[in-house]
Amino acid sequence: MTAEPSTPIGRPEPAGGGGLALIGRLAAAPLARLAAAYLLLAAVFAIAADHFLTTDNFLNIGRATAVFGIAALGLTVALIAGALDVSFGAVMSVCGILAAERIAAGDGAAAAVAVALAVGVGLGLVNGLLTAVLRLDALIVTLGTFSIFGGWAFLHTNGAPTPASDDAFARIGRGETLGIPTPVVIMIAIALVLAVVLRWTGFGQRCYLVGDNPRAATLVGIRAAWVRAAALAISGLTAAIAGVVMVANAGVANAGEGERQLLNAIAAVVIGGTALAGGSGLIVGTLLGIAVLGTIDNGLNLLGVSSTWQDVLKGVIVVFALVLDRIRRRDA
Amino acid sequence: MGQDVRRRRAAAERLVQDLETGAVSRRQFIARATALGLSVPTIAGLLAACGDDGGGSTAGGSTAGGGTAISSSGGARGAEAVAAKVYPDGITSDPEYKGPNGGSRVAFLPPDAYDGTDEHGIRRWVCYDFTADKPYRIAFAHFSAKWDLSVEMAARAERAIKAMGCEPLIFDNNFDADQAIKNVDLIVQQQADFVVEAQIFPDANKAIYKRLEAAGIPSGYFAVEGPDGALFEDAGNLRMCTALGEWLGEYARDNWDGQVDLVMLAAQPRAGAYVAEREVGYRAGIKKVLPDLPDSVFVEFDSQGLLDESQKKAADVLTAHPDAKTILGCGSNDDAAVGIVRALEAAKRADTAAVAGQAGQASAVEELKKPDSPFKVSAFTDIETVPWLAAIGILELMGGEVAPVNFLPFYLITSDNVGDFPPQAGTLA
Repeated sequence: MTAEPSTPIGRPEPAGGGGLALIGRLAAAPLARLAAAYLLLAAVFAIAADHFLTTDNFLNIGRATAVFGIAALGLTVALIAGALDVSFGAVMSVCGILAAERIAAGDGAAAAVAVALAVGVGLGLVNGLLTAVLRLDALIVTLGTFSIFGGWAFLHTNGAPTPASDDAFARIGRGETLGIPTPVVIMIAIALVLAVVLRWTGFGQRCYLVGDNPRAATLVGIRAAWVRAAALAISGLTAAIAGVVMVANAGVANAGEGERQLLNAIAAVVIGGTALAGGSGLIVGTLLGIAVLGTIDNGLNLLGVSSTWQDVLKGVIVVFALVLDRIRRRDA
Repeated sequence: MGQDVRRRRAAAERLVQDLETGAVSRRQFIARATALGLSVPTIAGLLAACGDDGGGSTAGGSTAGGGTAISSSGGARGAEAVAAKVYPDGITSDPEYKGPNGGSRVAFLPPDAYDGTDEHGIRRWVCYDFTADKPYRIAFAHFSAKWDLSVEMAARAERAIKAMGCEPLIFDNNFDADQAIKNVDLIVQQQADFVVEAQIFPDANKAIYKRLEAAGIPSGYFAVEGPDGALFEDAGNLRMCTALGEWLGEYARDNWDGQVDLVMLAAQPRAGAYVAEREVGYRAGIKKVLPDLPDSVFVEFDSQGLLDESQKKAADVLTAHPDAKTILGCGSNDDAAVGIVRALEAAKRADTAAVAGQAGQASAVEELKKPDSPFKVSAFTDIETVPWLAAIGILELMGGEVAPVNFLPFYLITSDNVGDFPPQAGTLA
């Protein structure tokens, strides 16, 4: 087993006493540093951009990030278990299209969502089974299935958009729950569930162990391949939910739409501190990563900065996060 | 041999006399002259000398380059000046117009240029009404097989090229500049006589043009411009979006007494100068109706032509303009326009907003069906007109003079007439 990082995200903090020691530990914690960085970012925008510090604006940020955010949460679980899932964008497209087809067939929102979620879990399990049975790296498997699922979406629709006009279905993407955009509520609910699963269930703990050192996990009796398969199924489920929200918002499903969420979702997970090699990470970190990306877009929009510069800046932040991840692992 | 020549000459002289006296129509003249074996320049010269058949095509103006062997059965409608000699009946031209490539000569296909329906019940377009003088190989490289409208364009182009007596070669550019350039090698290998390029990268079009030019193959570009002076066809971003801008301006004038607090322009700055003409058109159209509108109310953002991206950016623009009540939205395409609509709805500011888009995308069709939607108008181009560029290429191969910039008709679609517009996909492919 590798040596434990001094303050890894997703691991218990080392014991210690006293208020000053606690502040010191917080300052050294990656999550606390990320939160501090986010607050600094928000403070800069609050000063520089009028209307940044308003409730409506933060709801805008939530709305703008919910689709890739939901996918990023499931991806976090897979990545913690050491399975980088790059097929989730294609899964989003497939599930969104199937949901739209159910709507078009007059089956109603509940049936459309049920079909999409079932297929999402199924496709995640396909990834997981291929990884487990063939003992292949998840990245390789999901690269292949990304192409297969995405290609199927185009073949199935012939590239044609599928309208999804149903009021109940549309509320999933455009409605509000207790004054908060429904997609944001869905994202927070998923985050809470996954945080509990990772922190307080045996499965969650096994994800960390398998991601950190699969051989050691196997030696202590954990079926590492099946843990990863389950984690990939969770990633498929959240991709399906993201796909449903995406189509419900747009009112139309298009093949290829989900794939565009790939970079943002992976960036959010990486910025949130989840190690690309697996074994560490927290849902709250991914939430912060999502918030960072959304806030950068929003703040720069309010300041009138061109989207090209926004892309450059986001790229710099992702590279910076990866460098930090590497340094952290090297120090560990 | 000599007797045959004399007989044909006599027949030709009688035909010319018939044309002069009006005993034969212009169309009949072209058909008979072609059968007699008269050359294209000769037919064009005779037509220019003898005037029209009263069906609407007018002679006169420059005829450099001669005419074409057009055996038109459609009604001649309003052709004039230069194009009267070089295009099938029904096409007009504007010698004064400045096109996006700087071309001073632009041809228009007017909305009434159709000629009935074919055996499949599909509207038959004027380009089917002439036959090439030999079976040219016409390549049509379309945007992507992953886009239903592109598949439909290719299918209709294939049908039109065959109907004009030529051999179609269809290629899939797969929304990929590299693939489009690789296709050029295949096109050269298959010895195409003319190439219609439909792909989305302006710079790749320049590379494609150079490769084809080196191989001696003329080419034309659809929707995204080629290099300056290259043959080009589109609905015309500037004129189409100017019309949409005028529509929005009139809506504001009629419903809000001309008071507009904010105009959101969902642009696509990365798509090149020609696409940028959409925003120029929107501004010009709105200002034409509301000349006193200050420039400060116009806010442009990069939507990338995508619904979700446009929605995010529009939401931020609305946040930055909390006091704006009467709002106009201008989408670079329909998806971008629907993105503005979603942002307005989320901000609960859709009641005093009017949004326009263009292209006829599915998102617009769905939105226009809702009578209460702020999405008020879109400009649709009939996909059936796309093969015109193949017809223009064939005309050029036949020695006809063609305008460098060619505009297709477009239709302003609102909730009142969205149900009347013919389906764009699924009818042929």
